[in-house]
Amino acid sequence: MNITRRLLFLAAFLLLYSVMAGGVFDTWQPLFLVPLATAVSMRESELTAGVFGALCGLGIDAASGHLFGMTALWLLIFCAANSLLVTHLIRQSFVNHLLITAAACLWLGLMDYTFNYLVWGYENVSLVADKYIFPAYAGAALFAPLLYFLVKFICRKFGEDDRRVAIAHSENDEDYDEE
Amino acid sequence: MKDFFKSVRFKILIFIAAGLIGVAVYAAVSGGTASAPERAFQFVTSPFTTAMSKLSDFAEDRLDRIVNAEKYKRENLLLRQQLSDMWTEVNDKEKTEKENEQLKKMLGIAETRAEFVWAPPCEIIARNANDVFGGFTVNRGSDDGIKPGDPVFTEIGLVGKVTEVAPDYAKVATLLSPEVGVGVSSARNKTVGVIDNNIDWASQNRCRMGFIDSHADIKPGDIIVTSAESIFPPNLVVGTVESTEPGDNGLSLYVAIVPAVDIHVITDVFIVIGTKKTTSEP
Repeated sequence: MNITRRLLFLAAFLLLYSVMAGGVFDTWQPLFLVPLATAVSMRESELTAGVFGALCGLGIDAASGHLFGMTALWLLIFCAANSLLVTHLIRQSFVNHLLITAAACLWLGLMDYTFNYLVWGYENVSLVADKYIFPAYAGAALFAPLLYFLVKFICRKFGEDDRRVAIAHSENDEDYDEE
Repeated sequence: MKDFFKSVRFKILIFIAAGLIGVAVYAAVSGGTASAPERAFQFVTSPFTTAMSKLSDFAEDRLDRIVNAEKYKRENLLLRQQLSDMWTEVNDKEKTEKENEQLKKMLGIAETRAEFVWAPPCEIIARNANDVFGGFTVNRGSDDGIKPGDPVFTEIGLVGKVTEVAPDYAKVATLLSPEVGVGVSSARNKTVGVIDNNIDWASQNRCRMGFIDSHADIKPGDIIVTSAESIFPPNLVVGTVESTEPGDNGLSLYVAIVPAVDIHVITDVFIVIGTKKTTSEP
């Protein structure tokens, strides 16, 4: 178990959470924690990925003032599944990360819109989607490459999850980290 | 992958997921108050959030200064111009109000002194430096019909006379000055005398009335006005008698008069440039 790597992930989480919660951007805040969670989940075991995803989800919930635990639950499932996917089925690549992040953003955005706005019957609810939810999740996807390479860099320096790497190697050597 | 669903790790994840559902449900039913897990999360992360917020504010402030410097400069110039315009407006308003006040006073005097012809209300624009007699300059001159010797007074009483005129200003010598030798009399019994001041009396802000018979009936409190024989219009209040004292030769009296008008504090005066009778003459 590499503590330094995980501490760096935690530091990245705190930094990005602070940027989100500190109101650095004027109106909408890009949800940086989504690409961070998906990027980390591509390099960690299912359990760590799930826990880190849940932590990022809690951060998003706390920063956006939504139901605390809701996004955490989705990201726990999403990140654990992503870790399993990368270990057993898909390659650990930048494009895959972008697609997975986009999918996560789409799903989370849909959940956010549906459960936080649509079901409450607000008037002109589509404005929220146009002005806040879409830019926030699109912004998250936009930052995916940056966070992917940041996580990759950390893993290059401090190693990856040994067990997950071993499984990935044993199942298909060619699929593993071709970049 | 099948192994994963039978593993302890999967069970832990299920356990965490269940915990998260519990947290979400608890938060949902908390009804307006932050749930304990949320408070704990906020407590742990708040130092970072606060630090980032301050850092963000600082960076934004610096960036704003650089990016918007030109805009702020233009705004600053515009605001200065607006401020200048406003000051001019306020100044004009004050001037108008003051002029209005002066005209009201003048109207009051004009009603009681219908025989006089008046120059427009005069404002004191300068006072003679270190002048014990309190001489001053007003903002009206020969263009307004003022000429040397014209009496100067306020709604209270006589101030002095014009001694020098230019087209747009006039210099005034006050009652305290020996230059203004005005004939006066007691309003009570018409005891006559002449204002004949000197530095000693002027320095005490008093006028000396001389050339009074030593047996004259004059006492403190008597009101002194300009006499009918004076070069000034008659019955303009000069002041009140403060005290009497015998003259040097013992044959006459000197009377100390407290001027009705405090010459050192007035700001506006009126000048009579003639009487209706004299101006109507060809």
